[in-house]
Amino acid sequence: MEDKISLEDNRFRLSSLSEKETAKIVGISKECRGDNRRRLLDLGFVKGADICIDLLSPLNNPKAYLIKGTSIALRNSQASHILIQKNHHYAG
Amino acid sequence: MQDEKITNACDTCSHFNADGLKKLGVNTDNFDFVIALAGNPNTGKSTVFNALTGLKQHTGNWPGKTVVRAEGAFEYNDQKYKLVDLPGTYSLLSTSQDEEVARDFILFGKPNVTIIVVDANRLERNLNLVLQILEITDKAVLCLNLMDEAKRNMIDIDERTLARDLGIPVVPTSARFNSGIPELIQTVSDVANGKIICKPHIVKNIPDNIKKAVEKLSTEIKVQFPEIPNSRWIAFRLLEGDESIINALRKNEFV
Repeated sequence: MEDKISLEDNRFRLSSLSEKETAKIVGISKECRGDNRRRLLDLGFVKGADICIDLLSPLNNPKAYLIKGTSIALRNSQASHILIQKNHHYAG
Repeated sequence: MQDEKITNACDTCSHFNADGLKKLGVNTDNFDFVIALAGNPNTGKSTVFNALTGLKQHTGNWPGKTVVRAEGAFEYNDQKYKLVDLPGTYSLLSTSQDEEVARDFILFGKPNVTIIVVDANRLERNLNLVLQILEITDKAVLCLNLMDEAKRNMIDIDERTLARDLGIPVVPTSARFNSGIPELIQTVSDVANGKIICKPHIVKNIPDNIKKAVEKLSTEIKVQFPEIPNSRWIAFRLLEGDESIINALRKNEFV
């Protein structure tokens, strides 16, 4: 079944999230530190938050993500620091 | 002369004017209190500002509209209040250039009362900034704005518990329709005059070693700069190596 595949080590970078998927944030990667890390946390990218794509730009970079009720645009280089767990989508 | 300019219907309404409110527009001389308006981007700070001062500071439904601070004034019960509208910010810690305006004013401008405007629809996201502001100042009022929208979205907020947990007064408003503004003015005036004493929530679960370092630094800061009201917060920033705070201390901007 579809959800069985996604159960295996379900960890991705936010930059790999596609338009129709939803996910939960697992954390921010250790390679992102200091001010950049602080900034992402302040914008609401915290552990446990639900996230999905809100808007795409013509070149798919940056992308606007819907997080805690607000749309925040990130470059893919920033989004790649955010680790997510994709939600299962049941067929139907 | 300023009085003649006021032609808004609200000024003549008995409900709004009953307690001696006078919008003074840009006339900010000889004020008794300085009030700062802070909050996340796009929560309606400028709308609250206009409702209080009678000014027509440009408002718009997009974040990042206010990038410099705007000033106005109102008079309430024969006391003059200077109101400072700040750019929206998500945090006082990591700042972009316009957010720095907000942070510097809350830190160095020493407002008598800080009105923290939050979006009732996105309370969770807003509380981050609220707690950070409460670390710096204990004279604050939470303005729970966009209540009309929250009602439409079926969001119900337990204001009393929120006020108790945060330790500051909470006033629900819809600044766009002027609702809650009289209550907000009354609350701000009570806090400014010491009739309401705020006991803000302060984050307590700090590891022992950090706590000790902060206490040590904080006492030294108090010795060097006796006028700094928020030495604990400064100590935290110094430990983090916050450049702008270090520079501000060097240049003595806090006094």
